[in-house]
Amino acid sequence: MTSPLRVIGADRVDIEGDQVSLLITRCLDCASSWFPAREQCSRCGGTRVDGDRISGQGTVYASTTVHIGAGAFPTPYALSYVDVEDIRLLAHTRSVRPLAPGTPVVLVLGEVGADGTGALWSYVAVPRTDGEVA
Amino acid sequence: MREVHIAGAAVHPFGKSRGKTAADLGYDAVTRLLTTTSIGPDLIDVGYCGSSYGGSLLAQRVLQRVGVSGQPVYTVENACASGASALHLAWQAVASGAADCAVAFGTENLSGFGGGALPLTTNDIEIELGLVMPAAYAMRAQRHLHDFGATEADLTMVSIKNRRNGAANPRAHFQAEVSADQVENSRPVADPLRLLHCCPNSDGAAAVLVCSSDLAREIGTPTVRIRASVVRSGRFHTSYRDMTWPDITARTAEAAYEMAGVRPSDLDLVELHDAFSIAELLHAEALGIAARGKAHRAIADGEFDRDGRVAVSPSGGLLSRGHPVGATGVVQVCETYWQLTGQAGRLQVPAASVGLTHVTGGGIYGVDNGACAVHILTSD
Ligand SMILES: [Zn+2]
Repeated sequence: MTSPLRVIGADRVDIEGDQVSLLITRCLDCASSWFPAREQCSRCGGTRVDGDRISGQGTVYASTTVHIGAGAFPTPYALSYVDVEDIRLLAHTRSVRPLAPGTPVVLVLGEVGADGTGALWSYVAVPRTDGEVA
Repeated sequence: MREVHIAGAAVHPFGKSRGKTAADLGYDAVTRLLTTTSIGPDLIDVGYCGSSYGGSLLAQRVLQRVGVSGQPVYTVENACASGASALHLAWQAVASGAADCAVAFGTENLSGFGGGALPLTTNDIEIELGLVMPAAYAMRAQRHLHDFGATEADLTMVSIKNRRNGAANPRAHFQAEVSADQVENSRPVADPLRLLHCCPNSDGAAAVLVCSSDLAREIGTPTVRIRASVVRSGRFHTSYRDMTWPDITARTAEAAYEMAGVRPSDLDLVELHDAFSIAELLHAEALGIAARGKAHRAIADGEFDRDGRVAVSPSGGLLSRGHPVGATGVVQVCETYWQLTGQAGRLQVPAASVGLTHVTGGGIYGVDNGACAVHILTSD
């Protein structure tokens, strides 16, 4: 019997196999998009919002390799800000080297660290070519 | 609104003070302030303390020791802008006529946290994935270098300049110059930032006396005038953000320039929030003292040197002076007070008459920074 994976941010995404899509909110009044999903638009304050699900394909805005870090993540580890449609989010990066701005990536499920209880997983940015994971 | 002046400044030197609490450090700075201005505690109508990690009722714990008890006092938390927010509230109190005399101070002891990056707010979707402040600035740096053609050597030049400035500052945490080799061979923290591209976590405290024109005349110490005092919060959204343009700094500075009737070209000196060397490039551009994407050129050409076009962090900045979070916004104003009253000694910027101080900070997702404060001071 295997215990379920412990995924940081599991409630923010949909996971099928190793593919990750983002659960977002769109405001029906001012058209703002939000991640993680929320019940109220934090731009106009309106509550007329719809949930949506978008694919995890995006582009790296910026990236770094962290040598002095925090939490349960063994150093060095790489982080990237990724633009997925009009959403900007932070994600771990599978390679230890920083990714160049503009690198096309896809978000997949990956192991990012460990604590006393065991492995920790989350959505991880991986470079892609033509929609394929490189 | 009434004219508001600063009639005195005092600092507990920044560095490592392991045996002293934030209250001890604040007490030291406030005691020095009352001594240097020769005023008694009864003259103070209201007190404001800025601190992020000092705990509950820190204002009381400091001020009651010097005899300021019974008056209204407040402890203000706004991350790196805590001290400047305390000063802003003191300015409001005097400008509105609610008070004639206010003390604003900031104090912090970070030694208790040990080394490494400071603990950030919890329950944040970026922090739970391992984001630390150096990493956030490292990504801004990578993108700025990518977009504008600056290099890691340009980041190193910021550290060299500010460490050179701070080498002459007896209040600075680091009082030694560094070479390009030392910076480039220091330990990597978050690429492209190395240890000597990052400010140290420090202990320290700073205090200023804020008062009305009438009272400033009565006290008789050298004064500077607060021409602008502005605080802004970050604009929250989770969409595309240009991380090479700190919108929070630009908005705060624009409001301050308008309030003061001052243009960026009027400034003789700026004390800037250089928590990381890249921050000087980003914020110099957002403050309007360098063209977009050109701050690294200004530094290379010596325009931000103490005797340059506009002296940027002539006290050494956070990179040299250190960063006791809640004290930084106040010490910047102390340093500028001494500059504008001709008391800066070896740090003196020639003929300085207009200065700006800038702090911004607070790492939470969805904003540039949590809070930013800008003050503009003039010698009359
Ligand atoms: Zn809305």
